[in-house]
Amino acid sequence: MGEPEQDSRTPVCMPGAHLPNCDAEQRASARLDGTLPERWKEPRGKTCPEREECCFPEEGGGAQAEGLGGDLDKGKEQIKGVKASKQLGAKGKKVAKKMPGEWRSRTSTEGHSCRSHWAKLRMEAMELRSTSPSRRQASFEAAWISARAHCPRSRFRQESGPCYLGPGEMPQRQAMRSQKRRKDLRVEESRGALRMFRRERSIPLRGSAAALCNNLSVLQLPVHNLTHFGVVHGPSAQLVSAAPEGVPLAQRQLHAKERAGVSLPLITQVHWCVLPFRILLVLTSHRGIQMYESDGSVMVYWHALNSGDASPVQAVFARGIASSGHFICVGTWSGRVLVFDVPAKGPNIVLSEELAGHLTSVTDIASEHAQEQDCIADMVTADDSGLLCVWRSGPEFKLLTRIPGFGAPCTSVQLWQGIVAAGYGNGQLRLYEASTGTLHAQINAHARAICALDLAPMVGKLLSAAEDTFVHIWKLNRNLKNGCIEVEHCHGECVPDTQVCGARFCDPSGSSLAVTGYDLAEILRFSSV
Amino acid sequence: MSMRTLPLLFLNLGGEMLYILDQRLRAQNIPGDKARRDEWTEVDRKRVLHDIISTMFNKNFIEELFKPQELYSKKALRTIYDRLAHASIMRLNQASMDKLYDLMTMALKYQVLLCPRPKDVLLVTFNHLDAIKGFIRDNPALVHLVDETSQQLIEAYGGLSAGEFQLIRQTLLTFFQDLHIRVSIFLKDKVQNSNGRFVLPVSGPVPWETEVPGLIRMFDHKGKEVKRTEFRHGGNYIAALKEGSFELYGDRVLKLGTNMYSANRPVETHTSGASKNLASQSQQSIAPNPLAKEELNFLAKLMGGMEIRKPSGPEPGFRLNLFTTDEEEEQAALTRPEELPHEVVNIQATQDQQRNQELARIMGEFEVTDQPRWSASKGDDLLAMMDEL
Repeated sequence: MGEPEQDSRTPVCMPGAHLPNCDAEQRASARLDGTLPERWKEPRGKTCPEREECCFPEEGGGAQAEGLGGDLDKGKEQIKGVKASKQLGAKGKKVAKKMPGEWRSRTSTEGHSCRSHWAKLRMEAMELRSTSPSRRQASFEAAWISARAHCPRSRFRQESGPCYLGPGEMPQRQAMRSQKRRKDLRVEESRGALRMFRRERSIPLRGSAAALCNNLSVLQLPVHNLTHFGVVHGPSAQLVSAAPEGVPLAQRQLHAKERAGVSLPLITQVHWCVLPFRILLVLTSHRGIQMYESDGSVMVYWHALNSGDASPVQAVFARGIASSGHFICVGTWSGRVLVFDVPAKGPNIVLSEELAGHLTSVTDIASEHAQEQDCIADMVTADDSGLLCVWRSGPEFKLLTRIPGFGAPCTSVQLWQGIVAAGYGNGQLRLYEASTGTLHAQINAHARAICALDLAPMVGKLLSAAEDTFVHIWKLNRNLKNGCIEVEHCHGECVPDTQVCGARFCDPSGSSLAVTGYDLAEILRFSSV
Repeated sequence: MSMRTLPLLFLNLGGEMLYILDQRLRAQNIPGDKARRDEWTEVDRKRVLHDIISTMFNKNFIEELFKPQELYSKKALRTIYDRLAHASIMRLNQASMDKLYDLMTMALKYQVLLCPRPKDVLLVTFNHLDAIKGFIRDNPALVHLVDETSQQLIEAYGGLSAGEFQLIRQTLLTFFQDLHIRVSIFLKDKVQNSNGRFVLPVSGPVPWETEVPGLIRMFDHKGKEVKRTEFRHGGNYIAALKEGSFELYGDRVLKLGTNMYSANRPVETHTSGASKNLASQSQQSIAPNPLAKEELNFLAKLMGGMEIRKPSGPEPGFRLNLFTTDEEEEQAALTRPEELPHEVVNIQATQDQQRNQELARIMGEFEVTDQPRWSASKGDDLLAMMDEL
């Protein structure tokens, strides 16, 4: 072993400088009031934490410091034991196990000279105790700067300087204790809002979600501090109620009603309809339409689909559910929209009208209350050919506008303040003026078919989810000067390796959302930080 | 769900089965002169493929297949492929058959999931049919059969709208729901994660008729464009190159559905936690389908035109092992969970043996014996006689 270099420069191994896993508060406190944390007191047979992180060459083999009671054999054990000991960080985080190559050769295998390091530390700590806070800070900073300049360890040279922290700062690695949280933190980098969406606890499902569009329905009950989620699995639909933190409280499965002797029919959609005096849960399947009380406990109405004039090649099903006033509108495979009149109480639900406006299967229906005077549209229906029909609801529904398609099916539609937002099978998102049908915005939003749209009506946020694993949030607003509709992108989120099939906001202000994916047996939740 | 899905499902799964069998038979290939009686040769391999393809594209069966109907249940489809695989001299035991079926279904699930747009499932089918035509190149009758099937595909699906294709794709994905078997070739290529889920790429060309995401265009009342902005969409997409051909022959552009086993890599599956599979399977078949028996009987009637080759006489049944060693196969058979709902259903679908014998006898009476050749010279006569020895 050659002669180690004797350094006369300021010691770089300042208290805590090598210990990236040391708690910031501890380090700060160590600096400023001069006390040493537990860890830095004499180790009794423990490995020196600095041994691996040290940027000083070992100062000669066999330098015996006083009072540390280690003999050479123990030193050897310590060296061998370094690989095994991983409990060096504050919360058991692993630290780098290998010493840098160029130092390794200078390490004496007989004994570790960390005792000298400990001695140095203690001297420094005593020094710190005597200086004023500002002087301590200054000396620390100076030491840090020189360390960065001289230290061969690349980590110290990084701009972000993982070891040095200003008071009150939390390094990224410190904040995220678990692997999971670190991966889930995504920072929005686009110009404009700096939003961070954090992955919240997922809600487990008993069965995976089916590959349908609009395959998630959310009912918020702020009064009871509950949220209900509804997901279609295939021949059954699952209802889960959860507390605000995502803790699942109750689960229920509903099945499609079947005729005797035939195979189980598949469910196409499940949706909560909020009516003026009650909330009903509507289930559409390949047999018909079932309506339940909002918790799914009692079926209040069953309507069988009439497949009389269907050709054998046509699949018969109902799809597309929305509530408009005290009506519930459901779309069918033929393009007809069934309008049910729902009383305030009881099961006396009546089919009041069948709207004919579409020639191909209905995909989705959306509606909103006509409260403002310039918002005259009430309901919009979409179908497989991309055609949109805008209706005014009432005892008799009236067709206001038809918005033609362009070849791609319109898979999902939303209505907000007279703006129709439509998502298409080629990934495009279009905004139309509901009363006239003029196109106001065309967004190349996704690379695959859009499968779900949702609105946060209080803030005018639109959520779009597609099979390309992305979920985007947009801000809609009307330009008061010229009445034009404007849209801007707020945030994009990638749900890795998941073909998203449903997405909804979980609260009216649009600060949390839930997402389901094909073949995924859980509901993913995100909330903005 | 959609009533038009069965032909696509059947043809694609059949194509995958042929790829796997072809690869396995090639791997066990032994040159003809060195082979023992029970080993595979090139001739045997071609024969097996020919037999299976001629059964698969049987005219009556294809006609029935293209009629609008609901998808068969998983059990019925599994039985069809059991029968198909045994349509020739090849024999597969239960464990190998299970593995074959698992590989087929996971490969097709991957292809359907990664199809850029729903209509591209048709391109995947065409890729399979093109490869099948490659296997039977030297048999024009069979190639003609496959061409007819392609023509029927074009007629049935050529005019469908994008919405109907989306429904077909959703039906196919519902069929493959909850299958998470890990396939080693996918794991190696990093297209499948270790939890059995496929990797969905966020880069590459967008589907045909889709624009690259990132552009927002805003218009006024009159339709004039007033503003253009861009946003960061997070993926790394480029514009679509060109559309694949939906004709009988043509460049399909899409690589999904081509033979990925041709690189001759050994392919293994791992049933990910048999308990998880069981849980989902047992939930599905709560109500026994009373029509299942009818389905299978109908199937038997259709396949009744097939001859069953009994492994007797000079031709022993050749056994194919999809595992690397026989011991592995036995082990897999032992560890196969008992409750897997693959009951063996015995279908009696033999031809009328009596009628066959009768025909054979009549044919025999028509045989013409060779007349000996009279040559001019004596020397030639002797030579000719010696040649005939």
